[in-house]
Amino acid sequence: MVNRISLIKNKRFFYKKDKIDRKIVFSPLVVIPLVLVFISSILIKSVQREFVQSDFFNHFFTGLLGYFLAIFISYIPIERIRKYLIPFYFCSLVSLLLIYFFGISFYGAQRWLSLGIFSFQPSEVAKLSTILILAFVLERKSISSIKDLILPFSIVIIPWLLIFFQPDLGTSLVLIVLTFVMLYWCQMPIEWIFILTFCIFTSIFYLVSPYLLIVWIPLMGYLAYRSTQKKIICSVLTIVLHTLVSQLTPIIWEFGLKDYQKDRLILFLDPGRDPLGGGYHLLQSKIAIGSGGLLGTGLLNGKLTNLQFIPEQHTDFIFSALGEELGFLGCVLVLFLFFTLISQLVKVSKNARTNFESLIVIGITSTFLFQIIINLFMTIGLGPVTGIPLPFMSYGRTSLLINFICIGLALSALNRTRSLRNK
Amino acid sequence: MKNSNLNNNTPTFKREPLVIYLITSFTFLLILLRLIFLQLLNHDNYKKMSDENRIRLLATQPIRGRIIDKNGLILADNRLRYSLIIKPQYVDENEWQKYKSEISKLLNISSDSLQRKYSDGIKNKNFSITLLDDLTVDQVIKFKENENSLNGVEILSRIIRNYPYKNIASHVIGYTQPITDSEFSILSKKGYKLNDSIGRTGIEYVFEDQIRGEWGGEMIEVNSSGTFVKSVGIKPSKQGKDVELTIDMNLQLVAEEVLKDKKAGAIVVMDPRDGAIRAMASKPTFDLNFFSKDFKPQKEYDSLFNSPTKPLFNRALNAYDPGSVWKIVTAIAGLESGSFPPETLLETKPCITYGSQCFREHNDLGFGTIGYEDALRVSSNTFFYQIGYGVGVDAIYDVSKKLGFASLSGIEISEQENIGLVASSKWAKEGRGWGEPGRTPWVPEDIASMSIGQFVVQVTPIQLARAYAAIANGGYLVTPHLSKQKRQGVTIQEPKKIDIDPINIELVKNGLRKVVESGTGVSINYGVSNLPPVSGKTGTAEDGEGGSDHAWFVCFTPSDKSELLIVAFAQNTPGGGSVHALPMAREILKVWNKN
Repeated sequence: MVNRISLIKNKRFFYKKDKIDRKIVFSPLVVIPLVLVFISSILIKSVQREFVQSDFFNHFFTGLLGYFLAIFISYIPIERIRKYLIPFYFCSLVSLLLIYFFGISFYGAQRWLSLGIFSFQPSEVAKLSTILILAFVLERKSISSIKDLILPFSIVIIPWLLIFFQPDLGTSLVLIVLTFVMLYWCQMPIEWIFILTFCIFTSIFYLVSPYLLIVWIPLMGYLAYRSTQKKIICSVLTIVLHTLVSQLTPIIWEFGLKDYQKDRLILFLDPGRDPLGGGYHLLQSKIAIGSGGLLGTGLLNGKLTNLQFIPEQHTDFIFSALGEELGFLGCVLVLFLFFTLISQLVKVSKNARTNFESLIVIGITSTFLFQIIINLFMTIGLGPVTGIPLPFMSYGRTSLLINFICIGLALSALNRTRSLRNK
Repeated sequence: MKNSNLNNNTPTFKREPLVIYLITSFTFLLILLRLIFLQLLNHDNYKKMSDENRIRLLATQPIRGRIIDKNGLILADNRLRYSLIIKPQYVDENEWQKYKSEISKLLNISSDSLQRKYSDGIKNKNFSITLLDDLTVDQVIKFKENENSLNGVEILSRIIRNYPYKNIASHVIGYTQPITDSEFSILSKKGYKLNDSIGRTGIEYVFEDQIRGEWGGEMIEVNSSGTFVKSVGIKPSKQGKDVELTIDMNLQLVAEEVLKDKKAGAIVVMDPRDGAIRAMASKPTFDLNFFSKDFKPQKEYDSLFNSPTKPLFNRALNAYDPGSVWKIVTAIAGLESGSFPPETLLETKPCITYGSQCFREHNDLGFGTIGYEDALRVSSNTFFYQIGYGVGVDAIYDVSKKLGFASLSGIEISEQENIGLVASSKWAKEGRGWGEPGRTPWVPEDIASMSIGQFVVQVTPIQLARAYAAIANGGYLVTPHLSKQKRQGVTIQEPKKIDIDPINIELVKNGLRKVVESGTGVSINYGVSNLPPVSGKTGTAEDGEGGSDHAWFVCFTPSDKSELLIVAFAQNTPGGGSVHALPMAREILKVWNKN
């Protein structure tokens, strides 16, 4: 016990040597990402074989660097980073803001910020900073009343708005999801998540058939009634919220969404609408995956992949290259790796010693999980094109490094659990 | 959980990962099922599609809107152009030799030229080689009859821009060009395709967004031999909107005709009531259809882009020395100043000295003591020197700004427009656009030039049209325009009342009537009967750039309630405005009067 307390009391920045589990370098938490990076490096090479581009090389070495970075971070007790959180949060806000003035534009959206020799995506950094700052504010108290939501929401809304209007719909969705999951982790009733996320359905219903809302909105009110203490007030508030959302839907549709975002949503609902644009890519992605069969064409042999039939295949559509070249077995292997990674992370979060660590890890987990699901759904034609990368596999150095930093934080939490258990 | 309160006194949350496990398992299961469906159950299907590339994209070109004149005549439309192409990957050398002679015989073209194009294409590793551009319908039919023996040779049809009037109103209509690779990266977001065309100048450029239409396309599934099986999705192309111009082709044609014997020049015909342009011609001109050709012979290209005569240059919107047509500005400046009221009489002289030079009257004698109207009628220089000297450069500058000089006229095709120059003391102090500030002060000699529109005054025909329209319509500044249609949300501005005393405008107008009645413009009625009363002003200007004199004539008719205003300009055509410019206006008036 003395030892444990000294762990916090002494001002060492790193864990003491005897607190470190040497086996951590082989932990699935960090080995799985590395394996995914290896596989995807080859796939990126396959996509870009005609080019002199060294993207696959960059991806590989960024991944390797990320691995060591994660190991390094695992030696730092998470508690130590507390005092850097607020400056970090504001730095990431500033970088998001700077995008609007100095951003590098790409496909109609400003996403990159250039720092002389290298450029990075502030929205990726913002994901991490949001997780950390949310963990910081949520750790003390469980969520039991609406008032408890004010602080976390006001912290998230600033980066969210900045990201949403870049516009980067994908990352802004990630931010929403990780916020909800972390709130849930703080004992917020799950009904509240339903009430809030179902705003989306309210919007859709309004567009599709407004009459459905007559049943739908009262149902939301009932959910609120069931799950809150101030039943009447909350029910009324919920009903007002959903009615407001339904009335604002056409306005948001008209002014809030960029043309290409509208196109993507329409496209998902009716892929035949734009055979020249995204519809073609979605179909080619499906054909590539389907043509892979059980065993695939073999690495570097994918026909559609080599011919670059699928745009952005090295970033958002990397899974289609996997499907074509490694077939069903390759896909199942990768699915299994992702599943293992997620369940390991959930376990770390569950067993973490402090709320702070636990919340950070669950935030990270939810970010990974949501990105995996949305990206895979898009690639195999189950969901809309949202431009969300596949963790560890999609090309993108900022996001790869950030993902490994996240893994490092989870490892650190794991280290702490183990070191305490070992005593 | 005994260790949970290491750092604070908060109890550990009850952590329930079940929901997360459930969501993960459920979605991963869905993905797995979908993969089974795609990769195991439907593998054969997709494999075939992939092997034979069974999904084809057919883009359908949008049809560009037409450009039509006031009376519905078509100035720009589209036509199909057929070109003969060969795909070299389907043809070996022996076959090519056979095809070559066959095609040459069939379509009656030299086999040498076929060979040359083929070799060039092979050298550049082209995916398809254009053997013959712009086939006639006869040739197309002949080829189609024999198509089966010519595997790998195809006829491609493409919609191209067609300008029936060739080189008439070229500067107004403008032309389209294929977008460049660097433009494509930006324009692709707006729905442009590689090799797409975009308006570069004139109406084609200004109205691009309306006129362009939208690409459509069809995604089709084909079988292994490449024939159509079914449509997987379709989006029809959208035709662009037509643009109706205010141009009246009757007037435009005569405007082009009268410029024919001039080296260079411009005509602007405008409705002085609202600024609608009825004709705008610039000599030399060019055939717009040149830009629709695939092969552009270097010689033709040079004669357009590298010629010293600058045919692409719209002289109606470029600035020149106005000479005596400028005198209305000096007159109004004098009238407005109060120092030279309407009844002013001044003694004209053989010459008047300013600074080191004696500035001459154009007849070297003078016209005695005259007032404003007569000064305009005989176009006296010394009268206006005195006015200009009396009111000063800045008074003239202010009036000229009110009349729309030294600013864009507001016409749609402003990309071709030059705002010209009107001197002011500030401009002189700041270096006159070429010198160092403070080293090029206003000198007394300048005021003589300023008063009669030389050197320190450069104006465009369209600016003159605008200023004279304000005299003709009683003091309203119009916005010249080529179309009544909105473009990118911009509507045409209504005529604006100018801050000039209407009495003074009336006086100048009377003077302009006298010019035609008994002054320098009297020949406008020669050989023309029953023309309504015309008012106008001649001008002969020294070319500030050192060429021979420019000839100007501006007129409007009927004098009272004017419906038509003409600016005729012959560049570097010495001999005087009444000799060279006035007859051009007369021909246009004749045609207008007939209708």
